[in-house]
Amino acid sequence: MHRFANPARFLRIARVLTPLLTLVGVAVTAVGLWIGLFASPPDYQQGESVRIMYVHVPAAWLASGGYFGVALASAVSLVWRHPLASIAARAIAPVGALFTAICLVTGSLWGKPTWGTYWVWDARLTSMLVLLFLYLGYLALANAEDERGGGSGGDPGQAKGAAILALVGVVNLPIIKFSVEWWHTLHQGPSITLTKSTIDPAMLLPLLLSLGGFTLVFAGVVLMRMRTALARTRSVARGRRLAEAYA
Amino acid sequence: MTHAEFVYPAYALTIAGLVGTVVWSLVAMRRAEGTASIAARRAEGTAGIAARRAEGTADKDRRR
Repeated sequence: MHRFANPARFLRIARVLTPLLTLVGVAVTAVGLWIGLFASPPDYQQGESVRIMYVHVPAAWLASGGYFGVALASAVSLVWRHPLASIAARAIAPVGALFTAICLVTGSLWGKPTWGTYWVWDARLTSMLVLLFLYLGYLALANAEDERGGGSGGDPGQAKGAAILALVGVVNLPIIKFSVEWWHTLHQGPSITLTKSTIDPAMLLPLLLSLGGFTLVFAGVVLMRMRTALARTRSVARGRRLAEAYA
Repeated sequence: MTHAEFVYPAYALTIAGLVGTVVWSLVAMRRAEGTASIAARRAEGTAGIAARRAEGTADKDRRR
């Protein structure tokens, strides 16, 4: 991991991976969503509304997975003070927040024809809403730290608040995961676990395709945002050197 | 109430969000990397001027 913490080495790898991940991700997502929308069968109970699953489940997976990524990068930034870790956490957070919002809205759109309501203060829905607030809190704190001169472009030691919030917020991830088992909720239990799946293969294929495609696009976008942050840091540093040379 | 009323908005919102974030991130990355490469060229030019100035001062000192 320390090898990839070198920004020059990271950039060399990221320049190759960014278009690859994004283009393959967009293609796989397009195929998955097309099969999900037009070629997969309707559910025997939910009918056509089950097709929302092919956008809702990948968004939910990336909302939780993205937050885990923010927390992991924050931990690395706090322990080893790698500047790239802080940049990675800040790059993942807005994309994760977007997918959390998509998950909540598509979940509401799925809830109306299935449960008869757009929203209920159910454990799964409420813990996902808390995740969105955690993302927004992290982004506000990280932006405030960046403006003060710490954070992604400055001294990682100055930017501890956002990283600590990200680590504290991790407690919400097992609550989201096990909420449907710990409490009686309207939201259904897990259909796919590590050992078994209760989904018909005709529905599982588009779901796995859209899961894989969304994940690749997510990774491609995070790399783009990291490259943007690194380029801005380089511009600021060179501008400072230029000003010093003319002074 | 038809299912299409819920399915199509869910897909439209997700695709708009996905495409929007890809395009926005790509444009921001290109712009930032372009600005960084212009700054790098300027810094190289300044380093050359500073080096020539230093050489010129050294020549004058030697002549004196």
